[in-house]
Amino acid sequence: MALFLKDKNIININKNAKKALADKTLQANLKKATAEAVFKRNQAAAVSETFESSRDIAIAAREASISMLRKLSDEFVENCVKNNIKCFVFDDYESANAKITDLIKERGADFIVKSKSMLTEEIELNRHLKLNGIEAIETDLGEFIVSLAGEKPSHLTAPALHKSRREVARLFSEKLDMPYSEDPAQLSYFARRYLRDKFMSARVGLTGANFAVSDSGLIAVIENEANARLAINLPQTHIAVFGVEKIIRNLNDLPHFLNLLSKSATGQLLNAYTSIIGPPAEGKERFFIIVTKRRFEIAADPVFKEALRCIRCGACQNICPVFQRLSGHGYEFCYGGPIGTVLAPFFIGYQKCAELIDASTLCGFCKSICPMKINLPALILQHRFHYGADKKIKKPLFKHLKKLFSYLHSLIMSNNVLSRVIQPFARLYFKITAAVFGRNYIPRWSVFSKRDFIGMAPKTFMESYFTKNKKKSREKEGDKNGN
Amino acid sequence: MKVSLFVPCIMNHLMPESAYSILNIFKKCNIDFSIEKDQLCCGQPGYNMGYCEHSIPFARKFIDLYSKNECDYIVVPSGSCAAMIKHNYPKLFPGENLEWLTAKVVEFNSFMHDNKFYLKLDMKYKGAIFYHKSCHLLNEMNIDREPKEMLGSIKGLRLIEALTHQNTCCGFGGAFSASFGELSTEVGIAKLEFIMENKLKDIVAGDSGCIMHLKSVAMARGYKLNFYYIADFLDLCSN
Repeated sequence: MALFLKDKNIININKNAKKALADKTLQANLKKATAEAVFKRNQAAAVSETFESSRDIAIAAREASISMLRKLSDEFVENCVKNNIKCFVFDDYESANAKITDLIKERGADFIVKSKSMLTEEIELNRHLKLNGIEAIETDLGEFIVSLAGEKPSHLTAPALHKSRREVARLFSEKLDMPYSEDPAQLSYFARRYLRDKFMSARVGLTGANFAVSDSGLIAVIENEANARLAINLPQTHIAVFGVEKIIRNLNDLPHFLNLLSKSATGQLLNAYTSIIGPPAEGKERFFIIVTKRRFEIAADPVFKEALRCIRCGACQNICPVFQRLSGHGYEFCYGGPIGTVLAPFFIGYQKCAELIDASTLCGFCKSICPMKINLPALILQHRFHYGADKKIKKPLFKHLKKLFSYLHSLIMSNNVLSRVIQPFARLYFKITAAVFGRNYIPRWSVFSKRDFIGMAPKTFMESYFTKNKKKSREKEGDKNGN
Repeated sequence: MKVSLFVPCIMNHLMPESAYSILNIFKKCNIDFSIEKDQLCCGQPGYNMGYCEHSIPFARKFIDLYSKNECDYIVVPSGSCAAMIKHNYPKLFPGENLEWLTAKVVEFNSFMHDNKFYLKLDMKYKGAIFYHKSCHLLNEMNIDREPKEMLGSIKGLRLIEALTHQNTCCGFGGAFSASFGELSTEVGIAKLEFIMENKLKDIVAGDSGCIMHLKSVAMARGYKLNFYYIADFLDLCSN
């Protein structure tokens, strides 16, 4: 039937959750890592005298830059040219990937050293490079770990958040022939030595950018391991790839963003290394690849433009009760967690996101922790409204049932007569389930031995209160008549 | 001061005793209250599922019902229902001026706290309780200090709350709890395990939805815990 979409086209959150919840190691890793991250973030925000004021300033700065994104983008490119940096702007992933591949091939390189970049995940650069015989060597420790494991990053700032020390130790000893050790210092020292050779011989280094400064044609790269700094400075050629929303107006805004990003992402008062990158050194070359895909459209949307404020700190992921169990991989989209749920429909379409947009309790902790105060639950809800109202979206059966449930609830419960008439039937239903299952049973709710249902009261408050009051007023009237 | 009490669905259908606790408290504080007999659901379920058109009949009836009521406050004992009425009704009827309504609607905790009624209750208790911060009360209504100050004023009570990094949702989330049963249940279990690890027995929450969900999980897990909606607890302590 054309009316119903086959469920396999939809990201199956329930199935992914089942798988993730069954993996006890994963659950323990996630619980520990996310709690620690939120704890550190809260401590850093609490001791800082400037965190709150930086929030306000950064939000205003971002609002301003989003409202004139096209103009800023043009200005940024002009200023980069003055800085002897070659800029390319692409709206589609294919052209961006093709350009990067060409640049690398032209320089005769068969591998590149790469620092962490979520945009390269979005455009799937590594896969594209591999198809063209180019190996992308991830040099961020977390990215290095997940790439060794043949996985994708599971978190915006902590790509290997889902892995324990023990799992990393096993991975290093299997894949790199490192003598087995669970000591983080030894593990990182080994990775560092392994990667240092690659840095020394790489012809091309590729990084992302956390911010791009329009009025001066500079980018800022923020990190803790100095691997990005090596990728920028050691090879002959540096390529930086980033989304157009990273552009801010001027350098004066930058310190506020740094203040927020380091505290929100890792709970550090300030990250270890901040590189402000401008003109290439003599004899070297620099390229900026700017991706605009869907960004101008989001910037023009009166409601969703707020989502472009995001600085990719990952705090909303850390605090999200769904992310804490589902893990980033369960979202099947490079950006997981609340901000991922907000972005996904724009990038992979509403049809695929039928379950995803419902997979939130709308608890609102993400809104509170977001340094840029993005109203994430309201935006997720907005997607639900859009999904429900757009007749062009092919919907799966469960969505039709949900709508039917919502409609019947509205029809019955907003009617004074029907809402009363239905109550004895509901109680009868629970009586039957108690007789059959020995407990109150609600389909889809109490299918697990882990959750019962408290059941309905013998009389609703309204029933008992107004029968009592009726009696009382009758008695009163009786008294009056007697007198 | 005239007050009209709105009784949220979960309280009306599943835990009417909590509504009676509120009435007891009103009586103890000499608050002149009434209850609209024809009140219905606030319409939140449809709204949060993404079908605002299904919440419009509820909102319309609510507005019509209280437009004839000359009370000073409509007390709503639920963070999420209060947020629905105060924040979302104006969005459902963009052309309409609903300030008279949104100004009247007050969540139970802020009503009791801001008017200092809780001080009249002279409350005592012996022991420790765990206070669960209900998400919508906290994140939608920004009500955090109010219940804590009220509970803090109880003589002999040790108030225990989760640190901010341990503070999480109970897992209910309305339709979420049925659509994502396993995830929802696990969030509830984690909350209860935290309470069990801290050897606490009594839990107070600011929304009856959280109580309903946590109690349902505790029933299946065999946890012997006492759950109180905040009004139940204030009423208990003021005897």
